[in-house]
Amino acid sequence: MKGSPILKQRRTQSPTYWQELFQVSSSDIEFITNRILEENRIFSLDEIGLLLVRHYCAVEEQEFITLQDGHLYQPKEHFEVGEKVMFAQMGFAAGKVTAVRPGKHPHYDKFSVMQVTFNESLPPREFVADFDYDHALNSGSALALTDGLGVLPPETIYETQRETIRATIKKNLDAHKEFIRFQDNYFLRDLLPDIQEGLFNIADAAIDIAGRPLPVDQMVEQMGLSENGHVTEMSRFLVNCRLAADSRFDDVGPKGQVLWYLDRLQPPEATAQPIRLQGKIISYKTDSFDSGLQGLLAQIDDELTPIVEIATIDTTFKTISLTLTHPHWRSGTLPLTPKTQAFFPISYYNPVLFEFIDGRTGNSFPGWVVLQYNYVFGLEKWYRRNVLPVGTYLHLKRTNNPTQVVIDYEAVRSQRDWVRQATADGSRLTFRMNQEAIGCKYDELMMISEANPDKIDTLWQKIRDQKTPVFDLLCSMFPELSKLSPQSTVHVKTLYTAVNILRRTSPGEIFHELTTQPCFLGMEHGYWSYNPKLKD
Amino acid sequence: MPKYTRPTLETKFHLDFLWWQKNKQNLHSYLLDQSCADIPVMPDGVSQFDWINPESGEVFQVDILWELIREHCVKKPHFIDEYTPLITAIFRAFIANNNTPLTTVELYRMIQKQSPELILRTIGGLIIHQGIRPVGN
Repeated sequence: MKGSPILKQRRTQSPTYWQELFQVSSSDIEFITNRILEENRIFSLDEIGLLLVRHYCAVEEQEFITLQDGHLYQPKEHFEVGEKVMFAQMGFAAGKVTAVRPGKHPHYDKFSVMQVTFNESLPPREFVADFDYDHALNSGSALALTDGLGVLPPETIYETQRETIRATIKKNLDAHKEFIRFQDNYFLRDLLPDIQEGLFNIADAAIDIAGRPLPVDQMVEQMGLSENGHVTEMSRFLVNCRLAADSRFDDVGPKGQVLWYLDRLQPPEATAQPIRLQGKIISYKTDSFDSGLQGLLAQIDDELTPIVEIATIDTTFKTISLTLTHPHWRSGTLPLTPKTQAFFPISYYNPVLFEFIDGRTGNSFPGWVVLQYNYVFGLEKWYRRNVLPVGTYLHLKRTNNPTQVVIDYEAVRSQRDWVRQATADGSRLTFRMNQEAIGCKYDELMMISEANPDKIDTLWQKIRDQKTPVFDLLCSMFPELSKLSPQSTVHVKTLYTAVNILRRTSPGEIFHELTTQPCFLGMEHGYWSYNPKLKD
Repeated sequence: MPKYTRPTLETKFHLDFLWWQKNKQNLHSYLLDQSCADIPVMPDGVSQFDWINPESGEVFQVDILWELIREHCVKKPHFIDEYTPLITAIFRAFIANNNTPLTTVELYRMIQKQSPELILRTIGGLIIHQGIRPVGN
């Protein structure tokens, strides 16, 4: 812990201290170690954080008690040269009286002025003393001066600075090998027993036979680690730590629940982002977006759109609708956005296995929530089986079970609609109108089908390798798309799908190009035209 | 070097007497400019008094003119009027309330000039005018 070089102040009361100066020192590590040893139990990160804040406040309080061999300053009090004085109104700055002289004021008869030195390197300051007149600091007792001055209790300090304190402690404890952690719970590594290799095999077999993830309590029982038939906090922690360290096992439970599953039974997409979704959150200025574009930015459900650009959404709705975008249609996924996230079970530590319920048939099938990359996986077969195109209006519905989510679409009598179709032609995409059978409601502006997916994949890879800029793609696609409209205009949603057929791009990135490049001209209602003469 | 924190509409300002001392500015001469024509004559041999901060109890030796202006001139209708320049009006407001810290919103209510935001831009910058600065800096 560091002290202020000039004034003795309650540093724990300052948010800046926790945000900028707080570090877990070796004596803090020793303090935490001793507490775990004394109590011989698992400590959560919050418990450790609060323990440390309480410890810091207690140490500081002790320093103040030591200082209180002097007075707490009140103007009405008498002070002698050499006396220590504390000034509550100045953040408990402590100083020493170095001189006292008679005071001089046209309205007050008799009082003193004392000279106080706070630090040898600073000039002394003067304060009134023996001043038995009306003054803000004269009301009440000296001790009462400490009341209502914002001396916060450790619990309040921790509550307000929780995120910063947690992050600092976590970083420091993770760097000390004497601690072992599972999620946000800590214990001492040396005190945790090992598990025989044979028990891991039993755990593996138990999950394999069950064919589903097993809760940690069941794992403890299967591995014979319960004590007199009871699953203790320690045996639970032991199993969690040991299985987490073994590459054969993965926790797939939602927040607050640990469910162990076998790595070999998980689809690769549970941990590796599908290639068609891989993109960067690019920062761009939205100042140039008019209200129409701002609205469209929130309408297109894309996890690459920064959360700040999306208006607050009521997360208590029972049902929501979203439009299937090209990258997710290709990947068999859904985006995790502020709109959709509240519908799925999540975990900040691991991918979560849950169940999709088909709204048409009632059948269930597995889904994976991958919060790390903001997508939900497991819909590839469902999209294909129901022949859903890009732009399909999908519906998500909550159930009473948070690990079951209903997914549905609006079926219509199969009709043959004229829709845009993309074809990979050499090094570019061409577009034409094509009649296709579609059995669901969809966003016509978003919809583009693919004539030759394999060739499109080859072209996509080429664009990726060449790192072709979004602007170049827009310029090559615009004439192709505009010829399909009598007005020679293209809607931004169509451009978004078209660009994403060849390159993962957020809507905001496309809007940024449209609004900043002179060759694009905004029309009304989200439509744009293109003038190739202004390209360069 | 102390860190500069941009003041806000909630920041309280006051007259820092230490600024006058450190910058070797002539407070007496500036106070004379604030006095009215019929200010009482200063008592013999008294040039300074111990000004007591109403909140912290800190004492500054301040020119006795301060107290004479506060007792006499502030009651005059033209002490702060539409012709008083902004900085002068702010300085006079602090004389009138015996240098009790005020936000720019409170200052605006007292002097009725410009707006709290403009007052903040004027006295909240890096340049200190007549010792008017945020409390605690």
